[in-house]
Amino acid sequence: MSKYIMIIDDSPTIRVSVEMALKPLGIPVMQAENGQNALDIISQMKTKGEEIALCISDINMPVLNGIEFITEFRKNDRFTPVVVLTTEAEKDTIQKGKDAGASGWIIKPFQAEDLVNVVKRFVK
Amino acid sequence: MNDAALTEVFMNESKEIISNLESDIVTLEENRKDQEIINRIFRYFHTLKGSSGIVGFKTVYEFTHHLESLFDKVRSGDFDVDSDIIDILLESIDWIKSELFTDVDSDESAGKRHELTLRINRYTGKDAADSAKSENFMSEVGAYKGIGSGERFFRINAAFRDNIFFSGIDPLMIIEDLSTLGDVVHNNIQLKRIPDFFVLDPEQCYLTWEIIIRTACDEMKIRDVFLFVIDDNEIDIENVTDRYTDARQKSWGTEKKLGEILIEKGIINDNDLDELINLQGDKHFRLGDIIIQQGLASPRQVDEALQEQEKIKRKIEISTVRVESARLDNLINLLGEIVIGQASLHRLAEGMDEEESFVLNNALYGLDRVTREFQEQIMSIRMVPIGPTFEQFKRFVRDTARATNREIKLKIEGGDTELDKTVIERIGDPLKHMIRNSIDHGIEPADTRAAKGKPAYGTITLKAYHQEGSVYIDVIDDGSGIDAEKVRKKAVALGLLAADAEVSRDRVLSMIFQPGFSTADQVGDLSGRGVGMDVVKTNIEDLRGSVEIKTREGEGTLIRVKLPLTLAIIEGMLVSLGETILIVPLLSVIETIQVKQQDYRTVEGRGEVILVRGEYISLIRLDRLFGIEANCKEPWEGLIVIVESEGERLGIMIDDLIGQQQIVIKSIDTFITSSRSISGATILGDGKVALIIDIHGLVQEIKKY
Amino acid sequence: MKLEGDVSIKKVKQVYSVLKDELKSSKDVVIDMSGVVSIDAAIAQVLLSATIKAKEMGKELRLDGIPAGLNNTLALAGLVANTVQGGHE
Ligand SMILES: [Mg+2]
Repeated sequence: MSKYIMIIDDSPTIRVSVEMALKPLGIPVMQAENGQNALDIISQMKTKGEEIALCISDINMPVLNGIEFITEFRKNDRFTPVVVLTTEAEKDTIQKGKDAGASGWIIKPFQAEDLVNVVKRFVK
Repeated sequence: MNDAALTEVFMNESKEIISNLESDIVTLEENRKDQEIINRIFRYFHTLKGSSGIVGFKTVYEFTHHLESLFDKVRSGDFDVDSDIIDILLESIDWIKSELFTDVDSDESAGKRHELTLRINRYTGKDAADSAKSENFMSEVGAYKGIGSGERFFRINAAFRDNIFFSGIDPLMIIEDLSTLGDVVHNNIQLKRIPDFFVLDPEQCYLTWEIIIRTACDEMKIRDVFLFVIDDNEIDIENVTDRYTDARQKSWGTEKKLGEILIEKGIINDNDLDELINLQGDKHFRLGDIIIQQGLASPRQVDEALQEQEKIKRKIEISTVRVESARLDNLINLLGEIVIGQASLHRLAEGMDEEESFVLNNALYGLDRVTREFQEQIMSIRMVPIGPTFEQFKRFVRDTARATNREIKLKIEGGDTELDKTVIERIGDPLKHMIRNSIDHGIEPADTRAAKGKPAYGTITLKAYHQEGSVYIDVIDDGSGIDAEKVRKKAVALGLLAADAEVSRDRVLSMIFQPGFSTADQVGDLSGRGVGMDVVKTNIEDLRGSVEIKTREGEGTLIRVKLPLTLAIIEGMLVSLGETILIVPLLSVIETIQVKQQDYRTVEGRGEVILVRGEYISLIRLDRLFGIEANCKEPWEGLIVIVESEGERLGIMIDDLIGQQQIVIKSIDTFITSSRSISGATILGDGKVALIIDIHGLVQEIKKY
Repeated sequence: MKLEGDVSIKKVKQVYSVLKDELKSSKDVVIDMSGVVSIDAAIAQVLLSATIKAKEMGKELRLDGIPAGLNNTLALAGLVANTVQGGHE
């Protein structure tokens, strides 16, 4: 069974930079452009027996935002860690994320090293 | 992927965001209270800030931060959008564009940025010094590594809440993380808290650690390990290094008060303050900055309203997966191979006796149907709505109207009409040209309009719709229209039309698209109408489209662009020359006629021509051009297909007309030809390759002689 | 019994129920850890609690074939005898 990290952000720049930053970890990264897109991909992956080891999710996204995504995601998956990507100006969203079931957060913009350190706290 | 690739991703993303922003801002100018647009603009700045920060465009990051703050205030209703804000926004976007996409003079650019920042700050209530400081915030935090000097001992008591597993957090991993910071000299798990094995709930957490660690790290680094759990678990970190006192503690006095006030107000909590003080390090002023940053946090109520709105939106929007268009092109090429394979199977079947072929034909029939459906599905993936292309003209119309002292409204209809992606990418320029012409030469100034009894503001309508397997785009203005008689006179004067030519009004108007039709010579309302219109027509014909013009003097003009639904399939007319079958794109065909011998002649400088309703049309002999054998040697023996490109009409001699059918274009590079007159090839049912004539290229080729 | 791969909260109910049966039916419980890649706190506390229970019942619960890479984690979880050890070897 293969493991994936999923990055959910409406900004392709953020998605690509996360993928690049995590490359040294050797865990494949999947991209989704909003919460709904992520849920769709995850349910497809499930049918193939593929597992998400960690979701990294932006908060402010169209269609289905980060908080809504976590709430939906947690209905089917109680234990997989979800880290929210947020900016320093959105500290109150961290609490909302936690309330919805988030495991941690990363402040944008981030250094690749910081991101890797956070990911290492959730993925062995 | 490397940094350059990331930068490219960022550039593309910013282009898209900026184009959306421009359109939204112009709409906002008209609907200043539209909360949905305000929220969207906020998100665009927010996203642009985030991604520019990631790729290291520091100036853009800092600047969009201000714009984000401005819109945060707008969306929380702190103040209304006024024309000053609209100006700031548009100028800001111009600044971002020049900063990102052009080589800028850094002093000039910084000057403009500073000016705009000051104007923004007038709304957000920050002074310049504040903004300068907050701009420094991120870089300093980023540099913090948390390695102090000397050896320290910390005692950590960590009691995790019982439902922590449901947050996706593994306390054991946190403890492991901690252990990497130094040497664990004592580790004790409180076993008493763990219930009897036979009654415990294995999904609840009962773990409490007491750990003493010897480390070179400072307390912040230790805290950092517990960052995600410190707020809602009992985490107690105590520096137990003998007699260790933090000398800096005293100097924090005044700042601490500021922090305490904020705690009282419930804006931050104890743990936040601890973090803040740690972030502050040795420097004095930064706690204030950090708190300013936190003060910018978006108000809860508005955010919830935003979420509500997005909930409604997500019911409408469809989730998508992005695919490189090159992959789709590959699919289309592969499909072409399948079609060829099928054709050869069909041929095989023809060679069999009836009984044998019956079964194969039946199977092939099913396969044909699936292939056709497959083809339609692939094509539909390439289809994108034209709406965003239309939207991007809002700003253009606004700016051009202002510059020419006119009042113009841009109306958009049928934005959800879908076209092939390639067509969308290439239709923007011609449309812009047409709109520009409507503004410059169609729409009258307000006083002229008033005198004519028209509304003071002119209207340009962009309208897209599907009809009979084609896509139509109408560019309509309610301006002064075009005087057909003047066009005719000019066309005759330019030698484009015979003085006695009996041609329709439409044909006369189409002269506007002739190269060189427009000159500096000003003819009333006509002045400049044709500027670049030949280019427009060429661009559209390159897309296998056509363009026509309808106008009523004094009332307005309509330019109708007809485009194929897709570039990979064409409606083709099959014609024969001897044994050869050629395909003429139906879009270019005006009519098929027979000519009388007396209507054929040779004209000095033009070669062979035929006279069709008073107009001379050059004759093309494909047999000579392609070096093939034709049955009919004289124009009056066979048929003439009249085609049109770039306003030029040609008569193509053919032996016979075979029929019409949909043609899947197989890319020509698999076949050998250097002729511009051939745009591709297709495989016919009998397995024969038929070449597709490129009328546009043919016209070019003829002109060379 | 044998544990394998990433053994985590996602499998804890299963591990718990097998372990319950083992504790009730067998005399000594030996858990083959040789195929384990990682364990988390949820698994650790079940093993910890089971160890205590086994002792109470006069039985022995033993972790067998512990991979070297897992030693530090198990020590931090109080699952190997020496609970005091350095993070750096
Ligand atoms: Mg976002």
